[in-house]
Amino acid sequence: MTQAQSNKPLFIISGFMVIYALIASSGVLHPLMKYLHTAKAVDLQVSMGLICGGIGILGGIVNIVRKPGNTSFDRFVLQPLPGILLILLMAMAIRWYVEPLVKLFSHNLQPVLGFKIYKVLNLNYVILGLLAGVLITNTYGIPKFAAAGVKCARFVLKMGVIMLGARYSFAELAKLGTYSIFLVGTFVLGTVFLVLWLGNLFKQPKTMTGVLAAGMGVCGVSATVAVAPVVKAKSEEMAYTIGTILSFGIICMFVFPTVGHWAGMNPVQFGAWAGTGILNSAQVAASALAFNAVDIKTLKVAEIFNITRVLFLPIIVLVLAAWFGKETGKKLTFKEVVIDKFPIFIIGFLLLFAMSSMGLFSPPTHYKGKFIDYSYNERTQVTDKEWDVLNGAVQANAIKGLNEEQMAAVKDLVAQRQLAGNYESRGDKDLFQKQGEARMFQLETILAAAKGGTLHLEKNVKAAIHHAIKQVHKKSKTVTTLTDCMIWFFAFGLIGLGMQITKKAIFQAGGWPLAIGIISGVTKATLSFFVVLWLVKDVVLK
Amino acid sequence: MFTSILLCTHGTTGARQAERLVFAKLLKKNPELQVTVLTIIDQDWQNMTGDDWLNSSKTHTTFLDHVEKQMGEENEEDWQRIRDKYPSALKAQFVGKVGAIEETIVSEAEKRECDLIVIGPYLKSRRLFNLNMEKGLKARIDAIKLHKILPCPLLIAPVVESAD
Amino acid sequence: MSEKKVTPESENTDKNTGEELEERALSVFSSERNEDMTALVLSLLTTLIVLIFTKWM
Repeated sequence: MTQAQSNKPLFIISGFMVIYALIASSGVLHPLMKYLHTAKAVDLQVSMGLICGGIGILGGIVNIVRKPGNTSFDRFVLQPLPGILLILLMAMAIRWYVEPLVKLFSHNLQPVLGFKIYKVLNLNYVILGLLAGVLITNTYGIPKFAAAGVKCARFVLKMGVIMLGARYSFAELAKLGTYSIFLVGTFVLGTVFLVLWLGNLFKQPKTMTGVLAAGMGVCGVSATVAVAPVVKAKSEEMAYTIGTILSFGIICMFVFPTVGHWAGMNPVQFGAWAGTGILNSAQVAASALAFNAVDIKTLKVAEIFNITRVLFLPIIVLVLAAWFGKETGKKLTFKEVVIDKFPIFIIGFLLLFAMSSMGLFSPPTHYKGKFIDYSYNERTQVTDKEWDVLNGAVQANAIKGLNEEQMAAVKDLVAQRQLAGNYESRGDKDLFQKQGEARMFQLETILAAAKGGTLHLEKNVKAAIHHAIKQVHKKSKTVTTLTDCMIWFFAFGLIGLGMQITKKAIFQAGGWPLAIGIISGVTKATLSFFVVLWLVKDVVLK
Repeated sequence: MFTSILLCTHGTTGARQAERLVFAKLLKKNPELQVTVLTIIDQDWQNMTGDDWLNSSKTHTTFLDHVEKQMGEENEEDWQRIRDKYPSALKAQFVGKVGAIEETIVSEAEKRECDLIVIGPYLKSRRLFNLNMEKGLKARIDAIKLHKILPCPLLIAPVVESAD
Repeated sequence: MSEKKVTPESENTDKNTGEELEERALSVFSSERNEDMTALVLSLLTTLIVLIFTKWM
């Protein structure tokens, strides 16, 4: 690929980004954005367009001025740049235009179909992005200029996982880690042995059951790719196995979130189930985001499971190597399998976790991104209208069924117009905080009782109390921004990975791997579904 | 009229029809014919890593190295099968190449100055619900793509029941 | 993929040409380079930039 060839698309894409940003900033698109409910994101759209487009144009100019070489700068920056920008453009278009449109369409189609396509298939921007990637690869093909950029997807997804590390607390990590080690351990080993046993039962060659066991047990294609050279798999065994795993995984990606919603799973349960039952780890991330892309609870759980699986991979490779060692005559050392293959991105994940635990991303009093701000401040108050509602209800004695403490909390809310400690004790920070917490607790029990039906609250009273609680929950700006970056990395990575799923690879499925794969995969998904529902309770995730 | 034939095979039922045509028919009539048997290791093995993102490039390279080595060995076996079946194949040249199917056929034909390319007929693939597994990657020759870049005539072997 | 060529008469004239090796190294991070390490460094860089703009400025 010569530089001159790759320059034109680069200029077109980045020029488009800049022009779009300028149009968006002029406000011409405001009615459209309002219609699509994306008006709040206009600032982000403008700045992303300007920055990315600017970088693209700069890169194009460098390409013209500078003689193309084979330096790291060429290979890591200039060559991938057009592809990276193309994926970014796709991500932006999908998030701000395609997804809202799909929502609108499925809303309008509801009377005809009786259900919302959007809801049933969980077509949010993550899934749509991945599908767009698959679609492009299998129709037009990845444009030549974008090939190098698409290859970055793997690595951007790793960055996303690293950044996700900032969102855990010690308690969460410990709790989720226990769940995942237990569940992944059980199901990985269980599936590996099930496949080996089935292979034995159907008298299939050991090499085939080896790659299939790794793929069905640990993390899909990744495991197959890692294990195939070790067990010296035959060509048809690799082809059939990978085809089977890829197609099975793609079906899972759509079925899991729908079943999860239908079964009323909470985020932790769904994350645990997807993390155990879905084969390919990219598809785990995608289905977690499909289940819920707005808050990242599910993703947090699912990624812990993913990481646990990654850590299990060398163990499985060692086990299978031992299993086949005698036949192939190839010996693997501990260093080759564990040290050389240790995924450094997990160290990065832990590093960000440590940085966040030390309070680097939020002021010391913040707890994991969200902190409670009881300080007297206009921005933590309820609105005037809400205050009127509350005040009127209290004066008229219209809120019935509250106990003394709950009533006191409501009265204090009216008096102070916000959740806070006592005005007099504001000098003593700890005491002030404690009083605020106590009041918030009372208000939350009121809402819980109202939700549970044991208490009747007027709708607007409930909304006002709810808003009062919400107002004091503040997110650290740093953590919010880091999370946004992370979500973009995930979206980018999944579009790029979608571009690497070819129909040719999928259609390799068949033969014994398909038969054994379906048996073991469905067994794994079904069993883990019930085990998760039975064992995993909601963990309070901040 | 033809002097040098490029026979493309990868051991499938369809490809065996082409083998039969070349070794049992053409070569019988004209023993002077030079035959090059070309087996392509499909470049699309690269895509078989799918959406894997956990492994580093090193693992991918190891995987592709293994594929190449394995395919090389399997090709050797397949060529031995041809030689065992058709004594006339002993004189033929056997070549294994890694690349995109259509482009590799063309570039090899040009390089070896072949004046006829022989391929097998289109046969329906029975891969999905068939427990007998075929070797290698399931791949088809994209006729349109090949026709556009053909350097010499292309001969497609007809289906003859007794080819196996 | 690099080129592989086996012939019965060990007619093995074609060597791996530079061009074909290039094709395989098309993965941005060719085998020797550690992409995990790069991912780590870039994420730390992103974190630093975010910190600078949201906390320290």
